Amino acid sequence: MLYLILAIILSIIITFYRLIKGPSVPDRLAAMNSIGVMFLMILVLLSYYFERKIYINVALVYGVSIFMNVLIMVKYLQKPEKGGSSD
Amino acid sequence: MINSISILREIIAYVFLITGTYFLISNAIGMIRFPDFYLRLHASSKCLIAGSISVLMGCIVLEGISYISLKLIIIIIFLLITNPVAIHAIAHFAYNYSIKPQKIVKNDIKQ
Repeated sequence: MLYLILAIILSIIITFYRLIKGPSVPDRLAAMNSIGVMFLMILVLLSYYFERKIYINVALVYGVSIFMNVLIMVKYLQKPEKGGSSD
Repeated sequence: MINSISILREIIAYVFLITGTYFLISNAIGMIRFPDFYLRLHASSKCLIAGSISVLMGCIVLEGISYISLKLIIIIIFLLITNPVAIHAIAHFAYNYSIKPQKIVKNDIKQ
């Protein structure tokens, strides 16, 4: 179980390169979404590694949090539209 | 007999867990190797949802029938609903941000 957690941490570090060096803003958003879901998997696996299953509640709330994070960032980083048609 | 069933359950659970970890690592490699934004988003969406659901399925098989596995099923259903919505929102934001695909032949949105 510990080696799986270390492998997912390695993939988070590889994705973090795209978060730093990404040439545009949506690249960074996609990398942020990937890191969020990978960290969710780490939380689920850590609750099995420490054998305290009550920690899955933390993962359940964190899953809601990353979805809200992506949607709010997409809404407030948009350019203002020219026609004024709000979509 | 009970011991062999337990060993079989652990083997199936670890097959699911290793498959999910492989998908997550391939997601990370796709994020740094693909040249275009939309290719990166494609790799990110598919490998991310396959890997996360496979890891959670492995945890369910390792757990058995209890309230913990019910919570894991709730996490699976939530990821199946919200992850395509988030990826679609990022792609719509990128098109409004005037990022076009590199080797595009015909643009259907612009007409």
